[in-house]
Amino acid sequence: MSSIVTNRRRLLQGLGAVLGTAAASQLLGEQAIKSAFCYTKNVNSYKIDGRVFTKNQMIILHSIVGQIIPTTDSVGATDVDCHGFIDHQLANVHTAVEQKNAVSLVNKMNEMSVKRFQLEFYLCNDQQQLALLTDAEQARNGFNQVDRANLKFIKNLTVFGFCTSEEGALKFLKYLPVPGGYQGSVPYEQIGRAWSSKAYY
Amino acid sequence: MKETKYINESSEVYDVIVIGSGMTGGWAAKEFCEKGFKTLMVERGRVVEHRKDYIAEGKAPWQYENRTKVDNLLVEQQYKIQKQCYAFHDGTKHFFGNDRDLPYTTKDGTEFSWIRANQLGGKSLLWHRQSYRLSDYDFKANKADGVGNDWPIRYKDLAPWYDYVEKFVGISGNYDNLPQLPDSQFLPPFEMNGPEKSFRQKMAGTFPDKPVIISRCAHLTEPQQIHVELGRMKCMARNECQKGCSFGAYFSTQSATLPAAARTGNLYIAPNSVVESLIYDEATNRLKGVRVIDNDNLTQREYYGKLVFLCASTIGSTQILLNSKTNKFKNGLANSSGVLGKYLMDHNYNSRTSADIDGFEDEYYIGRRPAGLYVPNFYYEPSKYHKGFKRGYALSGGAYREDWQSFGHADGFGESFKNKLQHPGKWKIGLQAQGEMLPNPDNQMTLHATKKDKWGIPQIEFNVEWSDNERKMMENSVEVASEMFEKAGFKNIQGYATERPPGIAIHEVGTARMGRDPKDSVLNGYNQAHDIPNLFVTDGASFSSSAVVNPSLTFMALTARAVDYAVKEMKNRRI
Repeated sequence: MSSIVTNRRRLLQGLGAVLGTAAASQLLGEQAIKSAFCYTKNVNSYKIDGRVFTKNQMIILHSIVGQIIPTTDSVGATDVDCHGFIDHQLANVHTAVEQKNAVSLVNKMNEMSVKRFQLEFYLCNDQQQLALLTDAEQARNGFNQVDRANLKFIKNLTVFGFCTSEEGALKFLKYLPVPGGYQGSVPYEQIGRAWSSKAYY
Repeated sequence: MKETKYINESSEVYDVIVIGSGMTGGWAAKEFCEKGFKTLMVERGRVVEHRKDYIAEGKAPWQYENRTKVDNLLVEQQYKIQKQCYAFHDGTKHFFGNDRDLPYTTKDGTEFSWIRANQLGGKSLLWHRQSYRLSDYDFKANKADGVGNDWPIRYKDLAPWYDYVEKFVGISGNYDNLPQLPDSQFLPPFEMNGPEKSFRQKMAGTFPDKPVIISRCAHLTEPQQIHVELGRMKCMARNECQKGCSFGAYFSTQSATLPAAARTGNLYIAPNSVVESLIYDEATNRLKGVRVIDNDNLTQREYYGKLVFLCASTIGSTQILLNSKTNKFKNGLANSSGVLGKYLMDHNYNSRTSADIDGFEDEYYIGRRPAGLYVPNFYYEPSKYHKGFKRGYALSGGAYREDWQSFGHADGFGESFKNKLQHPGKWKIGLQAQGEMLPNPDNQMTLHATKKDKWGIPQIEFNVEWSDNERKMMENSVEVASEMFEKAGFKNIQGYATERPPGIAIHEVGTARMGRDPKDSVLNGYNQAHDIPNLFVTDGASFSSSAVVNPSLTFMALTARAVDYAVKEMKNRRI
């Protein structure tokens, strides 16, 4: 069982111990306790400790997601807090092993950055960051297949976080909650962007 | 639900007790209520009201705590089995059973995935809605190849009842005129997309025995008066189905049978009532009612009725019978044959083949279609069997364009990667096998000798395994689908057979099978217990073979037919 899960249990048990279970429920309500763990967008989340990543790791993760989906004429991953979302999602949905793998990749990116450029990853310029990320993805120049797999995992979470965010789904992709029926053959130019809506993911 | 009457304590003797409120129970209640019988529907779970209790319907992904994924702590504690279902996510989890409260065991070395939906409406809220008739070949299959006992009915016996239920349910589909897959009473079919139409055309010339058709599903593409008067509307192609559909566009207890039953004024519902056993009177050889345990406070109570329709799901119904032991029926009620609990079957969904389709870059679609492609079973009689195995399988799937969900692992960064996410990728196609599982007495469910659930009811122990026949079928399905894709000119063909445990197709059938001979079957050809005249089991437990097609439509037709028979028998005072 993950340490995060254990921590959440401890917190709930702790609240109960301090206030008494009934009192804790009355004061906070189940929903309030739940909302303490609910993901809310905070683009500045990289400036503070996360639940899985430390503050220093969050800064690096912020740079990584920014290189995966940069801000262009449309919003990018950092604009929708993909870094904060990944920290939240890892803590709530993923296993301890997956959490460890994600942290390990972030640390590896920084280690390689210091080794190659004598700079922390987040202080590198775009070119340097992209070179390191590309090497990690290709498992070369000091990166191995494990690093590649870990990077792909973070990349997948970034894409998921971005495309299921309100801005990503509504503005970057095309969202149609009530299509009104099914049409099997429509010219793509009539739609113009990929559908974001799937109902379940 | 207008005029629905919820009850708790009652000493009244109802005309009929219907146990269960899913696909089958809903139909039994509707039919009896419409025929003027005062009907008590006994449901083990909570009340779910149409529209009001569809709490996740219409929520956008960003409005979920974890973007539709379920909290790992919750999964660990309550949904370790249920999470295996493709439809399990944060917007549907409240319609799945809680594994913590619903424990079961499996015999050493075996596995069984038991998906539950214990609330008013049962699995009719969660089902995949694909709806097909069994053919005469299916009803004759056991006799034709000698595996299992002969169904006591033939297609002609059920055909008018398929007609009857289909008009009420609303089945979209195309009139395909195939001997192995009889047409239903259809509403207009869903469309195929561009590559699917092309595939269908190519296959028609190359593999005339493997027609590619649009699947048939219980969605209103063109609502009729019979649907509209219940407040049902056209399918919006949202793919919100398993969250509950306020349009009532797909068939469920809540959208259709319950309001139809309720408007008669004859429907009474006892929710939160876990049936522990049936009350049997040895002197008259009749059931008198049911013993229930309150779902919440565990107190006991009884309900009384002149007739019992057991519609608690294949496994649920048989569990109740096995647990209803009397002096006469020491191994479970209506079990003089000794076959109760045996011949448990599911469908085998353990293969998938996919390929890339070149071209069609200018083609896209609007909406999330609840239907797909379907290739009906082509090994449907012994003369057509593959030499390596008995019976056959259907293929189902469809063509779609890759999108951001496929690109999360693609190489690349920056603007070009971002641009890739914004547009659909190449067309892909996939076909999954839906194989028949042979009836086998060794595949069975029994009551555990010592372990009980929180209601004090013995837990079920499953002992179910795939045989080599099913394994070979899956391997063959990969070869066949690959060959079809190859002839169609598709690229990058990839197929694999897996071995997920039985249960996960959620098409469990058998365990209280129909038959002509009381010595080797539990039910007669009208779903009536051979041993006890006022007991009917009309859900999947009654199946003598699994056939290939999705079974729910047949549950409905069997139930409507059984009610018609039971009413005549009551009038003639034989029950």
